[in-house]
Amino acid sequence: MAGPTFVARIILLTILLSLSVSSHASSEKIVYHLHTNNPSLFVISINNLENLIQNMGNDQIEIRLLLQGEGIHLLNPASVSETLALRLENLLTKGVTVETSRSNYQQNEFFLDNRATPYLVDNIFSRAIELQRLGYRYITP
Amino acid sequence: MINQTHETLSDELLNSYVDKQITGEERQEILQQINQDKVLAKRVCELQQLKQMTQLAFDDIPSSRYEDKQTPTETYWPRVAAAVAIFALGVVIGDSGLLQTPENAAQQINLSKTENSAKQPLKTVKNMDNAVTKVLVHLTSSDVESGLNTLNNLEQLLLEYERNKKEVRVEVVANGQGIKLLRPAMHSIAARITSLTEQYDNLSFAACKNTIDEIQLSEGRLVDLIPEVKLIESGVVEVIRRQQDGWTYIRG
Repeated sequence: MAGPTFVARIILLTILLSLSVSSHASSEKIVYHLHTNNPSLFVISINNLENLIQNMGNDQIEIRLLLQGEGIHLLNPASVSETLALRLENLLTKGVTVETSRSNYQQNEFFLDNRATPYLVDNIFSRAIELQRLGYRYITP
Repeated sequence: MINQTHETLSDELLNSYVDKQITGEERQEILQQINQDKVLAKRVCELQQLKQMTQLAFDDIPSSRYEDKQTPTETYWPRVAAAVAIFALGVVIGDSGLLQTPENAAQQINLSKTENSAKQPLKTVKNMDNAVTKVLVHLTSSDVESGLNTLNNLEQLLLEYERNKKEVRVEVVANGQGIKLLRPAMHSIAARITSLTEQYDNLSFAACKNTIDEIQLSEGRLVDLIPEVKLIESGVVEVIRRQQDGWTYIRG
């Protein structure tokens, strides 16, 4: 029969371990999918991302911003205001990673804002699936 | 005898109609009014969707956990201690990675790798398990450019899985404006869908019947769809169900 001291020790150990594990559990991973060239959606998306980072804290959230097809115009200075471009640049310094497909990048390279070089993947759908399977939450505006 | 317009028909009466709790004669009259009144048709459509979603939400309610409630006895504390000890052991093992497979470990290393202090992207799709990947692509926009881009991405995805000898099932569900992309008049899209479904039997297309009913009522004519598209009762419900069943969701 276990004595009260033994029980107390086990409970204390559990509490300490739970506290140490909870610091890992609070981090959030997001895959944010943009696929249209829509300036108002671009503004909403940047707002969403800023709010996420503000609410969670830089070090508690990891965001992959996937630009599919026309969504790549988020990096087109002709489609977004300078203010929005600066806000996106600021997000990049806070750990947001922009990704697009290799083919989409090659087709549109001539107009892209060189302040935000995207990471290139083979296929955006495969990437979205992969990230979700790795625990990223899927958000699209 | 019902003699009311969409503004005066009560929610109670419409709910009874949706729940099929009114007589055949009353039902006929409401049906006639729906055919003549677009606003009323939309209201009924919304109520039907709401009903389906409510049914869905209550589909899997677990039975009460309080049925076998027991009174604590003097053997209560050792049981708690054992449970806590097992939990603590689980936490230690889980957190330390003692039970990780090499594949999982490789994924974690990929995730934690950093270059230039920024969080860097994962490198490849490799090292995933061999389970069938199920993907639901949700079409809600009638933009042709975007639709074609979605089909291109789908084709690449199917090719990639085929090349890597991995199983994947893809269902494209259209509702709202997305239905327009599945009409034969959209020649470029229709031709791609026909060719893709001939090539891949693990790809299917489905259209929301609720949306189609709504379009038929508002346009006053039947909605044609390309033959490869099957009809489902509700696009929204399909999207929820598939996600509940573990399908990965992507907006197309």
